[in-house]
Amino acid sequence: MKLLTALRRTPLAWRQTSHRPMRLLAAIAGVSFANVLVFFQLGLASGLYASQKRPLQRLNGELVMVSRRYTNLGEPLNLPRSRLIQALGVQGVKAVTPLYIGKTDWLNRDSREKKQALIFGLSPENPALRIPELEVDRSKLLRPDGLFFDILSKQAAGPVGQVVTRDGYYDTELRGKRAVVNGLFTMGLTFAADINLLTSASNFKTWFPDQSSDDIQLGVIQLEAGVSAQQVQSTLESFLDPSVKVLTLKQLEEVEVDHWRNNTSFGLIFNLGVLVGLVVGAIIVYQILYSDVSDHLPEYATMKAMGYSDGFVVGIIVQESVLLAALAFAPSLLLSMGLYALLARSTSLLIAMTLQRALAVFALTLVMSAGSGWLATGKLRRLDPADIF
Amino acid sequence: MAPLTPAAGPSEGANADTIADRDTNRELRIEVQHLDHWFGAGETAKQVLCDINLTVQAGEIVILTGPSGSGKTTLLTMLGGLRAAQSGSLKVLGEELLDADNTSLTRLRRQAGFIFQAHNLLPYLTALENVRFGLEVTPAWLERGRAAMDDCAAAMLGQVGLAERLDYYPEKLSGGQKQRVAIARALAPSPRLLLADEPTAALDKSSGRDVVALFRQLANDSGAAIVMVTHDNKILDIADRIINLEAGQLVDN
Repeated sequence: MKLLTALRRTPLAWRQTSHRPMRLLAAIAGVSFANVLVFFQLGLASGLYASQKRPLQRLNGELVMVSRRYTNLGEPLNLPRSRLIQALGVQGVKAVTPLYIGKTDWLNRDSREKKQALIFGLSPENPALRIPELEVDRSKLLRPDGLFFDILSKQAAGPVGQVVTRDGYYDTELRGKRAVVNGLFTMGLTFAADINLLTSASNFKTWFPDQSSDDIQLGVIQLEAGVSAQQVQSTLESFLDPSVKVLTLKQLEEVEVDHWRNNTSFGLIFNLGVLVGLVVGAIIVYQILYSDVSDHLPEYATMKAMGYSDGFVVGIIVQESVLLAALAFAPSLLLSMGLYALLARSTSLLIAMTLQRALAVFALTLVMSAGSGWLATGKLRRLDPADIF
Repeated sequence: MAPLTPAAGPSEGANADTIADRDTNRELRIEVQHLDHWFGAGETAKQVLCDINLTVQAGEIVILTGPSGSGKTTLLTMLGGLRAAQSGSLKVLGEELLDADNTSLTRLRRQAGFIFQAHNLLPYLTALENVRFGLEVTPAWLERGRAAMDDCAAAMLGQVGLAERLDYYPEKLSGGQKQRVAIARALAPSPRLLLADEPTAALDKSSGRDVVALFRQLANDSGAAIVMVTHDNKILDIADRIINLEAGQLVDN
């Protein structure tokens, strides 16, 4: 009933906002810009975090064993292979397989430029990573100096993809030794390196001769069907040497994301970016509404003199702020989706709009706008209708 | 505790008769007694109203004159519930406004019509909507719906000679036309009390007369009490009573 009578009122907030269309457009543009800033930061952050998980999502097992001090994939730490073998003794464990991870310089043959590469060594009979391109012909990995090259690697690595497609191989060198790219795969980059490479476990050892034959960097544990990963995990934790730890794949992904969020400046930078976007939006809304209040003070005083309550008058401004936020949201959402597409293409980061994020930004911008709308009504609340006349 | 006596019946009846008599045409809409008012506080306080005593009945038009700075506008704003009374007694439409809080002041303002020197129309609403906005403050009008309010607003604008200007925004209206919209806005809800500050200042002679005739009509038809501040000699004849304010005091003519 109350709502029905409210609908019979002249929609003052809307009439006032729409009375000057150019001013309204400028306001919407300003608030949209602020929203896009927020979306940009959130998108980039989530894209960064999601992209870090890509190699982990290829892990061919249910549990992983890493060094106790493991923080992220880009900083591989050794653990003894014998620890991984121990896991075979636990009931429910079907097989184990090592993943060798190393960081090395990659030489662009044409520009002689050096780029950072992350190289994964797999055991050909039971690869620790699920790579569909490898299933086609595993024997390629067995070639003594053979490498697979991630075609999502940075352009600066050289025209490896084209050359391999055309000639079947691409000659280069790794750590002073000859290397031949004779296969391509698609995985996607992380912030750890510009290039992803795959090779066999034995090739890996020839490029990293300083590692002992017992050193591995990550152990993949494969379970029998229907076995609980948590259960095996706790059994393993109960007897394994404390220098290693066992994680589920989900935990490993969380560790990775936490590392980038908390141990690097990324988290802070993105949070600050979001804050800056919100503050810009708040200032724009405040500016617009404050000047609206100042320009129309006698009219608002008249409303009070006519018998409209303080709450009603303040409500008009707060409604205007919410209206601005709502009107600016759709354009900013569209713009941001365009921006995401552009970013995803140019950075190969996994940046996409999610409903959750859209709703979160909508809620944030509403709260931010209503807050600055309310701040802008300070003069109105103190306004005494008798002083105007 | 009063003893029940046979005499109580007839005396009550007599009382009821006098009350009914006052209700029809002698109801007091304004009762001011020993009203003082100061601006500021402490050492710098300045007295602007001094021992004002005034009553205005339903259906009566009172014109308030006096030199500028004599406190006319202050008195008018107090009668309209824009300021609470500080001392003495100020009863408007049956409500005591001595030290009144915001809620009771706001309630009074809804029942009183106010016409100011400056029209203060909302620039983003048409003439019709400005008048309707004056109706919307009353829950009773909201109940009746927008169509009813529009009809009432259009009729009122017709009465002030603006039937052809309903959909005009204030910026497209002349000063006099804007003032007439403001007058329509105050008159449309048929207030029980109308307070006007120089309502005809922006009007030419004939539309000034027309507006004043409307005031008379409002007073006669719905028994509104009207208090008007004016220096416009052409309309003094409309008043039932002219009172003069000088340096915050009412002086007899």
